[in-house]
Amino acid sequence: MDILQKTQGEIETEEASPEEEQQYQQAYGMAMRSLHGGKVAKSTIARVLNAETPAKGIAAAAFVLIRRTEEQMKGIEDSVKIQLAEDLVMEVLSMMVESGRMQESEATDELIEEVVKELYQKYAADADNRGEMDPETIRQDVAAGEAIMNRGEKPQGQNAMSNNEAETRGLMNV
Amino acid sequence: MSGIVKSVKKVFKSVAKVAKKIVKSKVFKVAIFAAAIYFGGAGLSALSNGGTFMSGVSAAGSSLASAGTSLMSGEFVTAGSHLSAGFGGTTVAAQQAATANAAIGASSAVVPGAPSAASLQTASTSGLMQTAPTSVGGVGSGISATPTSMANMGNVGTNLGGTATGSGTLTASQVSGVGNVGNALPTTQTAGAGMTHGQGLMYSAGINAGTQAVGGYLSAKGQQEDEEDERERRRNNINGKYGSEFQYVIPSASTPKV
Repeated sequence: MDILQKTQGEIETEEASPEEEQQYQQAYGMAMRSLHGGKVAKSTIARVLNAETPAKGIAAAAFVLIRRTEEQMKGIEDSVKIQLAEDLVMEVLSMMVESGRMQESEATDELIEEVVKELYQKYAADADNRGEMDPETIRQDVAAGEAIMNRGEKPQGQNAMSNNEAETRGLMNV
Repeated sequence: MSGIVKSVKKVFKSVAKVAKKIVKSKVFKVAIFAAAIYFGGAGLSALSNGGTFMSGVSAAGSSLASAGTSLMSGEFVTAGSHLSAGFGGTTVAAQQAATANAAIGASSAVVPGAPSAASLQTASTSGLMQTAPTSVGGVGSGISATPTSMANMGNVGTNLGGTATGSGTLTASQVSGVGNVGNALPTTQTAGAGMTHGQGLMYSAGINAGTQAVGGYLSAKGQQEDEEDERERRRNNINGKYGSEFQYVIPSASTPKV
């Protein structure tokens, strides 16, 4: 987990704004009511159990709840969505453990990582289908991530680009 | 879906209601940060190459799954260090695929036009017989079917008719069962269409070597038959003179005199 610790150290944190905090509290309450109200909790457990893998099941359950909350709360911030996704994944995992369908020891970092991978792909596919995928924003995301990870180091060999290429493709704007 | 890197940095005051039994993992935000870089980069690369965003994401997902590795244990670093190339077309997924292909080896399924493992094995084990290519007339089928045992040499001879090219050195054990291959082999060898001069020479050399081997076999067989005939002739002479019941008894001291 050296890489994890290193990366965590490189991601600087900042306080959420009061507006974001308020939005988060509202979204969280809404998602939890969705999850625990009516028969959703039972169907969520069933969804996880019937999935191809536990990771896919948990990701599918969290995805449904996030999208439902998104539809109920228009204009939800991405930072709120990410925090909500994390809370929902942990909540679904807790439900599985408390209902005796999963051992607590099974909720490892590797499983969570797998869930995140599935969740990202699921969300990306959905956004793409809805026509809400914005390549420019993703480009900025990727460039920002690269800046954090590489700290501006120019790649070598086949990965290296000329300055002209980099400028044309916008990487120099990082 | 936007601003993930920025969003990951935000710290929300915990509502402290989640994770009743599960201790909240620290990996979630790092993993989603890594996923945004990894899958986002792959999706953008696919877009710049004329594909769809999701085709790149799916390819990256498949590649990651087949690699059986964790984002945290290496792919994350790979993604971070190769993303610059991603915008130009060399995706992380493509690099992984290339690595995987290299690991698998150049089988004919992966590299079009490459010889199959079976054909390479045949070529390396069949000696001069490999000089008969499958593309020349109908010769190949007969020869390649029996590269070592020569059990179907009669068929080879049949196939050789007309466009015969190629034979090989035959050991004594290989020659057994050849039958009338000597009659089947044509007297003149003609290179098949498309052969180079060098190939023609090689095939001629192979035919010559094979013909000599078969000739040697036939000569030896003739000598063996001659010897057998001689033995038979001597047996007949004895039987004709004394009758088939005659038994030659060596005289000894104990034999009573008549």
